[in-house]
Amino acid sequence: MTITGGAKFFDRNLGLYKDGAGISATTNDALAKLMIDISRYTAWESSGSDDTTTETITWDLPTSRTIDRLLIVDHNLKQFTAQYWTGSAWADFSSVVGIDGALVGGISETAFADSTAYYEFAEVTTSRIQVTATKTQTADQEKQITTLIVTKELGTFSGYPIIAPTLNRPEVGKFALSGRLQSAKRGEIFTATITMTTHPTVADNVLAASLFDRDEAFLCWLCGGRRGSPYFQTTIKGFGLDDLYHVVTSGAHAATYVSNRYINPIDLPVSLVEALP
Amino acid sequence: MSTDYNRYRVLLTPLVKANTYGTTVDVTQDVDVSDWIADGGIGETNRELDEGDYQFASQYVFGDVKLLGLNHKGRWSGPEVATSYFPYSRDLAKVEIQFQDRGGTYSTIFRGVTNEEATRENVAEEAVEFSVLSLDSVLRKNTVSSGALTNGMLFSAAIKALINVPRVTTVLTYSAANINVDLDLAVDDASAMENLTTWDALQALLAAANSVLYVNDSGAIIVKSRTDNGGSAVGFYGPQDMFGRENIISISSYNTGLHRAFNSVVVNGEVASESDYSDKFGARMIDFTFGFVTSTVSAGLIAARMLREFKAPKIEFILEVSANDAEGLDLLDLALVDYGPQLRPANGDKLPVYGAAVYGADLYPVTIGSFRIPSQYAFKIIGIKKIPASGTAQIKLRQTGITLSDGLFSSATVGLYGTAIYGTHTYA
Repeated sequence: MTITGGAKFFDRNLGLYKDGAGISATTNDALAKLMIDISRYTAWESSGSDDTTTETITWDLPTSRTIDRLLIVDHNLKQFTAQYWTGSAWADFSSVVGIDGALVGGISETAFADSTAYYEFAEVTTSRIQVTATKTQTADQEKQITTLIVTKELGTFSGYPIIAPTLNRPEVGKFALSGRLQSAKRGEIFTATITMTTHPTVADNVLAASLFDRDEAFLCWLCGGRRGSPYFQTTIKGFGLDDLYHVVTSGAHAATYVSNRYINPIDLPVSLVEALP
Repeated sequence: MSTDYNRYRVLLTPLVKANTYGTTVDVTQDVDVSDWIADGGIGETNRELDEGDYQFASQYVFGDVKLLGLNHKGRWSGPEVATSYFPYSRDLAKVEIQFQDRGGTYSTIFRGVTNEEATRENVAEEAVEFSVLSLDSVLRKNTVSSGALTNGMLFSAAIKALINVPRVTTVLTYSAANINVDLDLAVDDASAMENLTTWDALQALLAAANSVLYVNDSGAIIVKSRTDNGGSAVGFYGPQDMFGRENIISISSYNTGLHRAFNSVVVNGEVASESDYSDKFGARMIDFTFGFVTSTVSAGLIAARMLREFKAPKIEFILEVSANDAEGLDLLDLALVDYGPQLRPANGDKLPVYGAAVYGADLYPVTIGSFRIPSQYAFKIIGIKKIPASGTAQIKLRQTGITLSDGLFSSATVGLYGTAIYGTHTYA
C-alpha cells in the first residue's frame, strides 16, 4: 500500500498547546511546547544527545481525540518510533502507511531520510502520544523537531485541479524624505486558489464543498505526501513536504455546470487563506 | 452544514401594571436583527467606568441602544392595539439583547428599558424605532425625597437607600452584599442632596467614597472600589504569539495615563498632595465640592483617598477583539496583554532560543516592529463596547495598582526568544 491522491486536507492539529495540550521531553523539556505551537520558526532540540541516546517525547492531548493521521514536520530524525496510549499501556498503530509505503509493526523507522514524516493508520481514540528518537540523519546531531501534528483526514483530491499557492509578506512602511521606502515585512501568510475547471471527479467537488461549510480552520497539505520524481520536477514554495498550513476557505462557493448542462462536470474556484487554528 | 452562531436575540419583558412585569418574550423575529449591519438594527452597547479624559469620578456609562421594531402586525404599537406586546405601557419595558457564541450559548450583552418619550413611529415603513435606555435611566427618573437620607448615615447606607427603591429594584437586581465602598464616612448634611436626581446624588456619594457603580451581566448593581476583581486574568495576545493565541485585532489610544493622574486633590478646600509626583510630572490638581460633607476631617480623608487612587499615571488603551473573545468579560476583570514585535530567523531557519543559542554562532532574530506591551503588566477592564455591526468589541484597559512600581503580575514570564547568554556560551 502507498499513499494515494493529491492535495490532502486534515482537521486542525488536535494537540495544540493553546488548546491545553501538554508535552515533555527527556532533555530541554522547557522547549518541548515549541513542537505544538503554530510557528515554523520554532523547534524543540535535545541537549547533550547523540546516536546512542534515546529522547522520549510524551504528548498529552487536551482531551481524548480520535485520530488517523500523525505528522512529524521538519525534523532531522533517522531512527524513531511513535505509539499511542490505550488507557493502560503504549501500543503500536495498526495498518500504517507512510510516505514510502506500508510499515509493519506500527510506526517504527530506522533509516528515515526526509524532512517530514507522515503516517496513515487505523483510527484510534487516545489521549497521549509518545515519540522516541535515537539516531539523527547526520550522525550524532542534537535531535530536532519543529512540529508534531495529530489529526483526522478530511479528504484527498484524487483529480488534479489547478492549485496556485501564494506566500505573501505584508509590508508596512512609508516613503522617507529621500524618496526611499522605509519598510518592514511581516511574516509569511499563505493563501491558495484552487481552480476546478471541467473537473471530472465528483468526489473532489464534494470535498471542496465540505471545506467551504467548515467554520473551523483545517490543515492543507498541497503535496499530499508526494515529493521528487515522478511527482514533481521542481518543488515550489507551498508544495514542499514541510508546507502544512492551517487555512479557512474565503469567499463564496460558486460552482457552475459547464455550458449550463447539468450532466456536465462543474467549474469551481476555491480560495484558501491561512488562519489561526 | 455550518453551525448557526454569532447571532443576536432580543428579549422583551413588558409591564402588566405599574411596577409589575409580565412574561419575557423572545421578539427577535419582529426586530430587524437578521441583517445586523444595517442601520436601525442593534446599535453599539457600551459600559465604561470613569469615562472621559482629564477626570475621574465621572462614573458609569451604559449607553443607549436603538432598536427598530417591524410593526406590520401591530406588535410594537401601544396597549390599545390587541396584538401589541405591551398590555400596559410601552414605557419601561425591559429589553435584553443576547449574543450567541460559537458554542451556541447565549449571553447577555445589554440590558435596558424602553423609553416612550423617545419612541418614533415610521408609518410608511410600518416600523417603530425604540430608544432603549441604559439602566441608569431608572436612577435618573427618581429624585431624592426629603427624609430619604439622614445626617450621620454612612456613605454605603446612603447609596443603599437610594438604590433600594421599587422603581429600581423591579428593573435591576439589588443586594446589600453587593454594595461595598472603598471609603465609608458619614454624611454630615443630607439636605444638600434633597431634590437632586438619584443619579446625581449617587455620583457625588460614589466620588466621595472613591468607588464605582456598574451593572454586571446578570443585571445586578455592584458598588465597589476600583480594585480589580482578582482571580485568573483573561489573556489577549498579539501577532507575535507562537502558539496561535492571537486575538487582538487592533490597539488604539495607547497612552501613559497622565491625563488621569492628579497629584493634588482639593475637597471642600482641604488639600492632599504628593510632592514627589508633582516634581516628576508637574503639578496636576483637581477640585471637588461635596455639599453633604461639612467636616474638614472627612474632607481631608476623601482628598487623601482620591490622591492615593489617582496620583500615579497608569497605562490606558483600547483593544479591539472579536465579539466572541469579549464574551463573559466584566468590568474590573483582570487582563493580561502580550503584544510585541514579530520575530523572523535571521538565517531563514529557526529562531535562537534563550539558554540554548550559541553566542557568536547563532544570529539575533529580525524584529518587525518595536511596540511592546509586556505580559508582566496587569490590566483591569474599565470599559466594554460591543459593536454588532462589525462583530467586534472594544475593551478599554487600565493598568492596575496605585503607585509607579505596582501593577505587575507576581510571576514574570520569561521569553523564550532573544539573545544568547553572553559569557556562558562559546564563541564560534
